[in-house]
Amino acid sequence: MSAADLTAAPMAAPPREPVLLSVTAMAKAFGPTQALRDCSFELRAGEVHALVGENGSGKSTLVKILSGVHAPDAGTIALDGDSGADLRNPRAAQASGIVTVFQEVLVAEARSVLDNVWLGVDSLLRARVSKADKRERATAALAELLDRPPSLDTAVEDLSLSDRQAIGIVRALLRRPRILILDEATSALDIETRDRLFAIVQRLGREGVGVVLITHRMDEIDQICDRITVMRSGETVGMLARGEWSSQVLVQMMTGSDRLTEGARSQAPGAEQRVGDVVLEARALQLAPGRTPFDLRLRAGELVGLAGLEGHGQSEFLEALWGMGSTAGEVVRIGANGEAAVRSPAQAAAQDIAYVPRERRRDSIFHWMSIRENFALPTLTKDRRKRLLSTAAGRKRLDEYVEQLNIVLGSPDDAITTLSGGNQQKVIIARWLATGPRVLLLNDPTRGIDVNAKHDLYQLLTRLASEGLAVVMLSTELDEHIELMDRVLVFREHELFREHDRASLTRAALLASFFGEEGDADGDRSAG
Amino acid sequence: MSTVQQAAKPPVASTRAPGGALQTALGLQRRYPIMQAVALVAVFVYGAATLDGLASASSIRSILVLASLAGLAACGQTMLILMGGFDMSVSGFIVGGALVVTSLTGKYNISFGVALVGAIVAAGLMGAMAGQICHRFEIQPLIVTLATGAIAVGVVQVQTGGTLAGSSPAWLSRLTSPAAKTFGVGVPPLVVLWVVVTIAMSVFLHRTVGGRRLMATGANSRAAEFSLVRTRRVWTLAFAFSAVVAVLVGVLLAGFAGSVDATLGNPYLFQSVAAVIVGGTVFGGPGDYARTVLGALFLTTLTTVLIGHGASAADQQILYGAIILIAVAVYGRDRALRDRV
Amino acid sequence: MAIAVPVRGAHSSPNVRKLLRTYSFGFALVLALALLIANLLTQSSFGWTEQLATFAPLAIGAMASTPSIISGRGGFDLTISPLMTFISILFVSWLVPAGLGGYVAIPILLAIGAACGAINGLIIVGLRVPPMVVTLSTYFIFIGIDLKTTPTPVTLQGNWISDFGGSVGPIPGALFTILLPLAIWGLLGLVPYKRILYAVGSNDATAFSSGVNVSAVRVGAYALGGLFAAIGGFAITALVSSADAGTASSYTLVAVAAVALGGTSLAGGRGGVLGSLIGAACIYLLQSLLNAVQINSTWLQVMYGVMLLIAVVFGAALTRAQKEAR
Repeated sequence: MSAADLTAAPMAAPPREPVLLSVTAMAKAFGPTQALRDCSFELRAGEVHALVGENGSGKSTLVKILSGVHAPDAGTIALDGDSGADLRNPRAAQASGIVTVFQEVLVAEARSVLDNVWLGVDSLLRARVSKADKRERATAALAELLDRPPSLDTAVEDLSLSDRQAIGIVRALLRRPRILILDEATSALDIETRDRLFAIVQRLGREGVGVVLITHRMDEIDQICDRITVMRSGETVGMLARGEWSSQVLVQMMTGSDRLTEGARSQAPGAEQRVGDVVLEARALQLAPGRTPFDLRLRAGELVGLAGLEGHGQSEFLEALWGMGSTAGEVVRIGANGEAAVRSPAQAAAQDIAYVPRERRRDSIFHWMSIRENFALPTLTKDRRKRLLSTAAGRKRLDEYVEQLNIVLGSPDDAITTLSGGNQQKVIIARWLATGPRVLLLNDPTRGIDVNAKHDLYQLLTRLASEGLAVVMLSTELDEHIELMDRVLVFREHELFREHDRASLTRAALLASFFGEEGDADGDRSAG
Repeated sequence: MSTVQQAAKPPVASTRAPGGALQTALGLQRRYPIMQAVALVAVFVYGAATLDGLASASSIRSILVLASLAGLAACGQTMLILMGGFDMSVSGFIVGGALVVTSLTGKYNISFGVALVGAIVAAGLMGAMAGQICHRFEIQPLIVTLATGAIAVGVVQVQTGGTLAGSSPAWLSRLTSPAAKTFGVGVPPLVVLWVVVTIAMSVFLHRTVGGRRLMATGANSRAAEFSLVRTRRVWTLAFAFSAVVAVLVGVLLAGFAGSVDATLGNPYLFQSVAAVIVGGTVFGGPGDYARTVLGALFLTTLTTVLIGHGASAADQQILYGAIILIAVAVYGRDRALRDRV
Repeated sequence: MAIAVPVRGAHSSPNVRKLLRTYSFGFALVLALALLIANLLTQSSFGWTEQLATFAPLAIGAMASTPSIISGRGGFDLTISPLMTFISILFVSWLVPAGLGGYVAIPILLAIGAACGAINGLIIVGLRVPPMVVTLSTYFIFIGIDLKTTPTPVTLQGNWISDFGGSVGPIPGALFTILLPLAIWGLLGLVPYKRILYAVGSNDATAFSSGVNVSAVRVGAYALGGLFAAIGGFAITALVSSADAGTASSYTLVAVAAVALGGTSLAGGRGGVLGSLIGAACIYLLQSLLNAVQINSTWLQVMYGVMLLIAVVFGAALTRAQKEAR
């Protein structure tokens, strides 16, 4: 099923259905951080209810409380009007009919698909579902969600990221939830599976299940949601029914200001004026065995987007540019002193290529170290005074970027974890800008950060490009490509499928490329 | 792992503690080893009040010398635990070092210096190998160092044929004697050495590029690798350092104890781990060597007081176990499972 | 644990890896058979009954270390060896003099063993401290208690337990003690617990969020280890007909080596008790072979170390899951 079919058949909002869940005056603090202040929420049977808000607005905290992961400090949760519901732990919450798919891909890697989808259903000493039943129901659920479902006995570690996330979703579906919470559960899915999931969600809605959907994507909200609850700084600031919302209204409610996500690009000089010499070149790069090799020339001052369905080779390409290798071909840095091959991350760094990895918490953050220490790590030698590290020197260097990147922080000696996601990401980007790169590679840097931080980041990247930095950025958001990029490379099945320049950068054209449709070739030129 | 970092990520420890004052106190405790210092003073005062002569200069000197040995033995352990590693081979390399400079000098008729250099090189290589293996194959250091420690002590034992002849040079015994003076001052040379090492370790950990890289490796090895820290080299060097330090401590111990046997190092494995953990350094950091120093002083004082009250070796072992448990219960906590969802 | 940034291009023979992931003890099995043949060739009189009795404590120690390792998060239970000695001491120095030396001792000691393991587990999940640190502490405590209660070995005379060191009818008695943990582990497959244990070891956050009582599963794993260790206590007592605090730390190193050699992932979630038994057989047979060809016994320590290293390196290199880029 394609996206178009789904939007064509929006569900009727069911305002008179019974209230499944109602949350009132919920508050929760983690140490000094007040994650929820005054949160109210209502879910009716049969509706798909979106929960939106900037990062740190408390959505995930609310979800974790409803799922039994955290206990609230104050407030009531009523299930079917009964406020005595037991949500002490995930097991209790699931027994009450609340089942959650968390934003992280949660699977037991070493175990089979079957074990994974049924994990947690049995008690320790007694099986709740017979073996034959388990196989049958798992097969059916997998077939409904996945075009090519894996065998039940495959180890989950052998599956793609999208399929792993699907395993987590099937696990939730098999519990026959009365309330299904999808906390950014679609972020790792490929588009096809996501559409199938939405079809399932709509079927569940017709069966009277209440669905809570947390997403950063407007298109998903438009596609299947009946109502939206908007959160800001731990409070619910409003609830909108279908027809009452638009991007503008939502952004205004989420940010509390009139600032819209208008493109940074309009203020920036056009690509034609700033694009300079070739600084990085990929030659006959092959991303997987048997795939067609391709070339790329990256010029100074260019903003290049990498797009495609999840897992189609764009990440591998970005990492190849950082010297992490590819099946065949080479990456060459072209500088003032001629050409040099990039064969390892160390070589890439030595040749002024910087890479901001994808998963901030896993790949970038030193959780107990200070903001300053987090910032300075790759450029420590610059803080050396007579062979010893100088705190003052590090602080001074950081101050520059705090101003430049509009980073909001208390003291540079606070732990980095005291910052919001967006500010953490800015610190990480500052970490790499401090290396003085000529080429900046970013792997989905705006994933899950709030609108303001995104906006700051777009402006920063545009400015850096105008100063002659070559930027390659992988993004999973179509709008980002359309707003920001000079050209966008769409990957499909580990090949470069199509290159879109400004003239052919439209949502429709990009999506068509995602799905391998040739479309009209006007304005496109094949790469290399 | 989450890609979407909510601002509401809870801090690592004790989020349930109510009240602002307690929070402040816990925050201070996380930053400075206050509780450890208080415990040290308390034990000493109790000992001085109940045991005759504990507060005398000579008994303080011997406590300091014993603490120096424990503290020096915990040098490598501190670094490894900060880095997210662990060293079970401390006892093996201590025995190895002690045997080499006492027995092998006689057997092969080589000078003390040659034997020492040989032992350091061999230990460095074995430690480096352990670090390489741990990092390359992602194997728990506990296992690998269990093996290298066994190999180290085994190889030396085979060389000495299990007979423990020979003794340490006289100058070494003088160096490690609690009664010895440093340039005429009434402080044992070993204690002076410990002070110097403490300063050097602190400067290294907090004020050098290498120290920062070591800490970063412990905090998040993957992110360190992405931040251009060659973590395998960090692991290799740190394990080599730990093995070499253990050998040197073995040499000092040979001088201190006079005779050497295969169990010489055993108490120092326990003590090195206990000193680091009681001091408050956590696996993968944060922590530092100053905390280990406090931990070593506390444990040594406590042991001395207990022996003064008639405790046996078995009692000491039980007590060590109990103290480590109490210490980790207070501040060595992992994140709760619910914070990792 | 160190995680190197993955570098692409190392997709060598995924089928071999998958096979070894499923039958992770395959290498150990081949090695054990080869060593057995070598032993039989070099020793004209390979006394099965005696050999099995000597083998039993090591084998059971290895099997007892396994469940906690499978439960993940570095679940080494260092207390297995001193716990086996503790059980032996309890039997010889306390139960027998108290007139409880008959078969009634079996349930008592098994319960005590399981309880000791469970205490370890409870401390680990209650304090949220790395298992290694907790069991290192309790290891000291157990050794201390062993030494304190039995400063000198106490001999046991004329007790049924020595049958397990000799033979029960025509069957070598040690077979009972060795096969009992294996049987318990096998029977455990009939309830969901074992699958859940593996899932917890593979990814505990997933298990928790799916509604598994992770703490209970972990405590169960340590209790199971303690139960097996109690059986190991019988095996030691049967072997030496005495209780000796000197054996308290004898099996720590070799048990872990055997587990690693048997293909159980030290990171948790993979492997099994049978693998550990086979791993232990490798070590025992090698040791026996070295004795037979009269190699100095001081080399044994070195051999253990080297075998442990080879086992973990080999195991990690072969069964390591394919590296994920993200």
